Amino acid sequence: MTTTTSPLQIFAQGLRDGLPLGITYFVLAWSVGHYAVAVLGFLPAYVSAQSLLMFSAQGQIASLKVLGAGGGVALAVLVALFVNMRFMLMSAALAPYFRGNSLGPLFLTAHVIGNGPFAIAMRRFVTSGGQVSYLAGVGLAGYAGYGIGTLTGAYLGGVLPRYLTGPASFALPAFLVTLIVAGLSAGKARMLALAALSGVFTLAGAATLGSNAALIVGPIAAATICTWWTHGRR
Amino acid sequence: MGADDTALIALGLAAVGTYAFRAFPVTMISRLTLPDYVRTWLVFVAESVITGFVALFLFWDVQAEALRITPATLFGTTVVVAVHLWRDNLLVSVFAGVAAYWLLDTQLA
Repeated sequence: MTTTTSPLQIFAQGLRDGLPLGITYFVLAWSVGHYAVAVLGFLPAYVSAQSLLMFSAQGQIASLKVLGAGGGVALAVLVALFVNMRFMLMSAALAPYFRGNSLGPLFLTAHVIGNGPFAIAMRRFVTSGGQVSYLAGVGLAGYAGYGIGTLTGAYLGGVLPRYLTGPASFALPAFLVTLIVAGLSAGKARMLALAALSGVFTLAGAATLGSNAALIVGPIAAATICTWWTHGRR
Repeated sequence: MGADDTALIALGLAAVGTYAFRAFPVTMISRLTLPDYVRTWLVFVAESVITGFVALFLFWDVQAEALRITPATLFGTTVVVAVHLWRDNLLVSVFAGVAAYWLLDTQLA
């Protein structure tokens, strides 16, 4: 007997898997919303809209800092786009899993591609193949947490107590570390080498090029070396 | 053009550009037949981006633009890895790691 799983069930599974991410994003986004309004002086409505339209804490803060310091439109946009270039890598890495999928759902779901949803979805796709509805579920959980968190932080204000922000700031990397460990367990030595190279290159890149450029250059360098190691030596 | 207009135009352009970064690679590349080495490279890039992001998040001080390795971060990360290898349960691993981080962070604060 075979069992089939509907796209709705896969979407619900994605939502469930993304719940811890959504909670983490909520706390982090609260701080972003509060910082943008209380420190940088932007209107809560503007900050909330920005969160929903960009869904990128790093890009958002970078752009707001430029505008807050009196920088022009062009510089603010360029800075935000530079920081968000990493999404191109994530999007490209997801592409082979969606061969033959309709473009409509892909265009709709693409907006929620971010660090957390990407990491969770990739871990599943490696074993189960690409599922747009799963990416949509995981992404929506993160997106909702981020959007509601920014909105709450921007409108209600107030700094969350340190006993909450401290652990919350560690929750997202801890969450991603579990996904890396799962990847290492599956890929053994090759993935361990890749992880080590990527970590070292990214940190070295941050020291020389700045952290935003490092997040693009470091992973590309590590992936290129490991690809050469895998294919070039045959 | 006022400050409000400037902010709105910046928001619109940044949002459209960011969406393009997210949407076009996944839709366009999914239509192509890629050589083996490109597929491998994309898989490796996916893993690398996550690791690079975590490395920066854990060990890089964005404000000071300098390396920052704290005992709480190291302890918390070690606990996450150890518990995940032992239990293979995402929530348990994250909870244990966050608790370990919180414990050392508050003790050393």
